[in-house]
Parts: sequence; C-alpha cells; structure tokens
Amino acid sequence: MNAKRGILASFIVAALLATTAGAGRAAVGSVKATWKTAVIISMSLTPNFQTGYGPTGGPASPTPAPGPSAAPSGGYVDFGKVVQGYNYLYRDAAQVSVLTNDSSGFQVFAEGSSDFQSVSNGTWPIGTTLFWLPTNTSNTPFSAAVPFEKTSAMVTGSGTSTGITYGAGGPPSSALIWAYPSSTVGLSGNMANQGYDYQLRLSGSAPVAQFTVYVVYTVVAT
Amino acid sequence: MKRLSLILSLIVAAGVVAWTPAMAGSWRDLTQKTVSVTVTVTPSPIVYVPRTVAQAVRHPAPHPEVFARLNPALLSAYHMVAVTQGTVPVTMNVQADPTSMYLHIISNNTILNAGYGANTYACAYSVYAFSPYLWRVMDWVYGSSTSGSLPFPTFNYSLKSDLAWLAETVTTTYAPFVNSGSPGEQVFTGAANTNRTICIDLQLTVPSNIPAGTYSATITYDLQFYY
Repeated sequence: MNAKRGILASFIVAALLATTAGAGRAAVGSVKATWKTAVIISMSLTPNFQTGYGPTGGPASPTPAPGPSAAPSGGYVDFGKVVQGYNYLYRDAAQVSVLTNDSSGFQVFAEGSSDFQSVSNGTWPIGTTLFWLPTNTSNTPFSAAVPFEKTSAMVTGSGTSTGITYGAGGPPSSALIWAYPSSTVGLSGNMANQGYDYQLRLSGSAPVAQFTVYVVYTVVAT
Repeated sequence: MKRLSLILSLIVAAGVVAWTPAMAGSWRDLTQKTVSVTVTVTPSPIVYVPRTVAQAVRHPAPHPEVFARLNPALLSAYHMVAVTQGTVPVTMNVQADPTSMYLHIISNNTILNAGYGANTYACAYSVYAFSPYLWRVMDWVYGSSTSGSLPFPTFNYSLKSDLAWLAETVTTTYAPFVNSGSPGEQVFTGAANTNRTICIDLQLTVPSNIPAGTYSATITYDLQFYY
C-alpha cells in the first residue's frame, strides 16, 4: 500500500516538474508602442456643381444666363451679361468638399486674390461687389450675404493655380466660411460637402467691361 | 352787364385754376433702382488665431537630433499643420444701364460694421436723379409690405426700422426707412431738366438682443416725374 502511494506521488511530482519546466521555456512579455497619426486633409472645389446653376435677377433684358466660360461641374462662375446698378444671385456657384481624419474637424476660408480685374477698364472692388451665402433655394439677389474680401496676404501663381501664402497668423477670421467640428471619415465618400451661392451687387458706377477675379479657398485642420 | 361778364370770367378762371392741377398731370414712375447694405454686427474686437498654425509657431518643430532619437513623445499635434487650397474663377460682363441717365446709385460705403447702440455712416451712398420734367425720388425698404416679416435691420411695418436715413442738404434729422412697401416716402425733388446728386447718410441702431453676425438691407429708390 505504501509502495503504491509512493509510485502515485512520484508520478504527481514528475508531472509538476514537467509543467514547471514547460513554463520556463515560454517567452512572455509586453511592448509599448506609441505613434502619432498624421493629419490628412484634402479639399476639392466644384464650380457650377449641380443642375440649375447660373444667375438670376437684374432687369428683364438681357435675360440672366451663365456666360460662355461656365460649364457643368467646372469652368468659371460666369455671371454673363450683367447690368450696372442691379443685384444678381448665381445659384450653385461652387461646392467645397473636404476629407479629413482630424477629429477636431476643419475650417474653410475664402478670399479674393485681388479686386475684379479687366483688361480694358482697370479694377473694381470685390468687397462691395461679390458676396457668398450657403446654397438654398430660398436665396434671392437681396438675401443677407457675406462679402468676399480682397486678401492682404501674398498671392502666388496665376489663373486657376492662384494661391495665397498666409503668415503664422493664418487666414483672417473675417474670411471664415465654414467650420466643421469632426472627422469626415464615415461620411459618404468620407467627405463633407457644402454648396455656396454667389451674390453680385453691382454698383451703378461700375465700368462697362469684362471683369474676372479668383476666389481662393483655404482649408485648415483644427 | 359788363360787370356781370367780368364776374363770370373770374368765376370761370377760378374754376380753371382749381381744376387744372388735377387734370394737367400726375406723378408717374420713370425707373427704380435698389441699393443693398451689408451690416456686420461685432460686439467686441475679434482676436483670432487658428490654433494649428499659431501653436506651431509657439512650439517650434524639434531639432533633427530629436527626430533621430525617434521619440514620438517629443512631437505634439501642433506640429502637424494641414493646409490645402483651391481656386474658383469668377467673371462678369458688365453692361451699361440705359436708364442710369435718369437714376443711379453710387455706392461709397455699403459694408457697415456696427457695434451695439447707435452707429452713423456719412454718405454711405449717393443717389443721382434727372428728368426732363418736374421729378421726385421716393424710397422704401425693398420687399416690405404691411403684412411681411422682414428681419433686422429694417423689419416690416408696423415695427420701426432700425436703419434710418438723412439726405444731406435736404433733410436735417434721421428718419427710419419706410418699411410698408410702395409708394414709400419722398427723399428729394428736382426741377425739370436739372439733375441732383444727394449723399445719403445712414444711422443704424443695433439693439442688445441682436446676435453678432451679418445682415442685409435693400432700399428701393423710385424716380417719378410729373406730367
């Protein structure tokens, strides 16, 4: 009986030793991994972004219609022929689309790179002439709207590649047109979209000429 | 008999004089123009600095040796400044206004930055008028009527407009714009074949219950001639 107990005890001890030896061969531990996720932000601009774009308002003649430089989802915001002293509303002028993974969202600023410029008749101030307001079917040529200001920062490039180089202070707060509070990941196409109508308030003393200006949009992660 | 004839003549003459103004003519519309005023209510100076750029300046990027140590803890989110730009071209082909020879508005300062309380703006715009006949210029708030609901600053009848006007050299006190629609109120007048250009001063009173923001008001000017 004692011999049997001794054999059983030997097996248990052997088993325990085997278990202990196995544990001693395993490498168990932890690694601390830290990283910073880089902020990704991109923006696309689409002039004349949906059917129905173009100017309304002004006198009966000439009939308001997009000018020849306007094209569906592209081209210019072309008010066409506009008459001195009248207000116009250009529906669906431009859509801003932003993608960002920044959980704090982003801010979009917009400024004119210059005043309106013409080849033959000088310049005309943008700040009292061109205004923006979020797209809405109830907008009119007389709706409340915010002026585009001529930038005071350094302008680079030309034509559709015109840009503005802001200093450390960034774009002025008066140029803020859209503040979005969160990441756009998870939205349709992972993008947030906002359309804008443009309003033209043309002074009776505006020179008769073809005028052009470039509105520069800047998106900043917040 | 001669005296009776004279009396009859006088009666007829008096009748003609009394009758003539009504039959001789009436005020007729020649043309209308509008002027839009943008009001930006700012309760206090805005001190604004975008966080990402400003903080990056206050927390300059680590030196290269810091990067060499590859210690992510030494980087902060402020160093990750993300900015991108795009451009929308805008163009217009300005045409002359064939009726501007009779009436037009010259905008001088139609972007009105306002604080709470009373604000005044000298010669915010000028109104030019001319007609070959006796003429007058009327004004009223565009889009107003006796049953509308226009917002600040002009509101709608029977509320009183917070935007008031004064025609330099013509009137001496500010008057709230008429906001019950046409025919409005007389601003200034002129003789036949004479033109006048009148500066319009504006006064804007911003009540304390109006939130800071951007507002618009549009005023219609109507040139009428007497014929």
